[in-house]
Amino acid sequence: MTRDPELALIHSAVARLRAGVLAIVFGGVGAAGLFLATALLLLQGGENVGQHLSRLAWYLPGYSVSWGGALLGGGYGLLLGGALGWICAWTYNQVALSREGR
Amino acid sequence: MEEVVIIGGGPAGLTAAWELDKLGRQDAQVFEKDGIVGGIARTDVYKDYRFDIGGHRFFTKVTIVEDIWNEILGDELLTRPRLSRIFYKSTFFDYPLKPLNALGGLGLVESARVGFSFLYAQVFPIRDERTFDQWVTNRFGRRLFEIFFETYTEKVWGIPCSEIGADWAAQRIKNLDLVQAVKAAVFGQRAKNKGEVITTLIEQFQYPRLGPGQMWESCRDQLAEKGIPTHMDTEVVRLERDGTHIVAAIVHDAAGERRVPGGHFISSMPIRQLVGAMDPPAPPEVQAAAASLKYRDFLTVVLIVKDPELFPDNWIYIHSPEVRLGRIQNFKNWSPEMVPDPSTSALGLEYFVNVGDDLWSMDDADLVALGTKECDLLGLVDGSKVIDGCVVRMPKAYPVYDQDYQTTLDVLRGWLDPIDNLQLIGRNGQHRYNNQDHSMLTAVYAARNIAAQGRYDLWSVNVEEEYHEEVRGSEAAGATGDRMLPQRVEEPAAVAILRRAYARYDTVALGAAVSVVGALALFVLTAVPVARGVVVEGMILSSLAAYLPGYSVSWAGAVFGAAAGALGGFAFGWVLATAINAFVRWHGMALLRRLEHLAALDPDHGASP
Repeated sequence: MTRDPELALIHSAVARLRAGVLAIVFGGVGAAGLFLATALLLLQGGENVGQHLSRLAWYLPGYSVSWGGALLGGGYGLLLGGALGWICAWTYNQVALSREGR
Repeated sequence: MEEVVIIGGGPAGLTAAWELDKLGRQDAQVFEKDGIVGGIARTDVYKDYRFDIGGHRFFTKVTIVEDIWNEILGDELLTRPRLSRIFYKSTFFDYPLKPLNALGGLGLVESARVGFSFLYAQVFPIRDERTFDQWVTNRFGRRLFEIFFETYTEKVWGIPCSEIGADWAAQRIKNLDLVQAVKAAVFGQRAKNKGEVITTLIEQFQYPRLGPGQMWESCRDQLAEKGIPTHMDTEVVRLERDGTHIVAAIVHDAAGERRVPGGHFISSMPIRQLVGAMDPPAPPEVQAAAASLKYRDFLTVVLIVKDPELFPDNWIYIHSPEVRLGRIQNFKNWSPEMVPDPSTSALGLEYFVNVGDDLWSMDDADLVALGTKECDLLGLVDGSKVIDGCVVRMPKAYPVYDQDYQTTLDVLRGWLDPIDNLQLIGRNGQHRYNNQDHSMLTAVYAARNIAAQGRYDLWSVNVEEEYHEEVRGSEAAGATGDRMLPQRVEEPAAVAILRRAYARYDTVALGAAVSVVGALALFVLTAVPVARGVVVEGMILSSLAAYLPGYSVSWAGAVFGAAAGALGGFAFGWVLATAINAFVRWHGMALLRRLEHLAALDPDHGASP
């Protein structure tokens, strides 16, 4: 319920997403996620380590379930997560801006 | 008719006389205390070498001013190519800054430092952004701030960046958007809106064939032919005042003092001196206010170098912290006719100083030696090729806006404005960091006020627009611009803080954003194995069909998956934004209830007038 003009002004504000921040957050989560997913499998050991996860090589050339692959996967996660985060924030801001201008 | 006394033969004073003549008033006379016209826009001469006090590009958004330039100089106004760069650690960087060029010039290690510093600033921005260094660091990272902003800003203003308000940074640097710059580098510059053409002034500018002084020397001579004299080496030492009316100026020249009665007075002399010249004197508090106005001063060391071509720039910003030199002008590149001997070049080394400091007080010969040594150290000039030099000192080149500036100016205007036949014009006349064109515009308006061609508020020139390297075509006629100076930090309004803290998420926008990401992810995840021919029975991806009936790992499935990802993503984003908004709104209302409760407990609540 709006009680006065100042309150209405406050409620009219639309948040913006900082693309750089979202890119870094998504990138960080992506990097940590892929590194940890690979590292945990390696630490668990056993036969056919990471037979499912190794199929990530279809998408990420050079990746394998190994310590080198964990690092490379971390790098991929950083890049792809960052790109997705940036796209997400950019799209949000563009749509919000165009709707605000109407 | 009552005679018009114009104090100062700079761009403002001479423009006032020029405009008065056009309005049919040939009863003006100009008094200039120096032996040269043009003020800071003068062109000095040393052994036939012509040089400016700083560089003066001629460009303006103000049609009236452009017309006057053309009336005075006509074909003598040249169109010159522009190149200006930043010099840092023996490397040139484009100015205005271009991110790709900057990173390329810094090298791999420094670029990595800049990159990490930028990322750090994005993740851990300074929350209470109040100062110049904080504003720049938050947007570009600390390292980029240190390289491209800190040294030069402190050289020019003599103030630590940590003491300069963030507003100034926002105004001066706002067009330097990294993302926009990268886009411009990749896709080229495009008009932002239909019908709106961005006219860049980066590539070229107008410049008188013999320097800016030619404009004002020509103006003075043409005025003289029309019977409007400019008295050189003639200082206005007193202004006889009868209450709020000036009756005469007492001027001093080689022949001594004489009295010049007048009906109108236009002053471009520094306010500090103007108030000091009042007779009877201004009240003590006004004199104290005038005495507290501050200025930044400037000196140019001119070096004549036995080298026909030193570097292609018109001027170079020196960011290198190991030298005190702030900027170098290469006058030959402004106009070849500034240099009489084509086998030589003339440089203007600019030092930003305060009257009385060590550089200001240094002998000319020592300054020439210092300039030669610094240029040699930077590798820009071979010191052994410097064959001559001279020094020009320019006091009060820049009015300084310190913490008390606005209050001081209010006190001064409170006393000066009621004087019914006095108008203040120009940079020092108004103690405002006007460009030449804005100084001229105040003069045009002052003249029109006298000729009863309207009632113009001279103080309104300059406040509504920004000074910039580029001007939009739709704004090019009649707009004015302001070049801001470092200003005090302002407290943000409470409503502005609350608007930021309690801003709601746009549900449709977040839905659209997640939708795009969802569609992209599902399409790529499906399309890659199909394209690579590695689809096998029972792969995990195919289990998505349990949630999305009709989905399969195939090209059709990729398209279907993208559509489903878009729909599902939109729903997820929309629900997420709605939930966040509901929580934020609830929190905001709870906060307001708490504030109302506290206000009710306050015994002074409602008692204040």
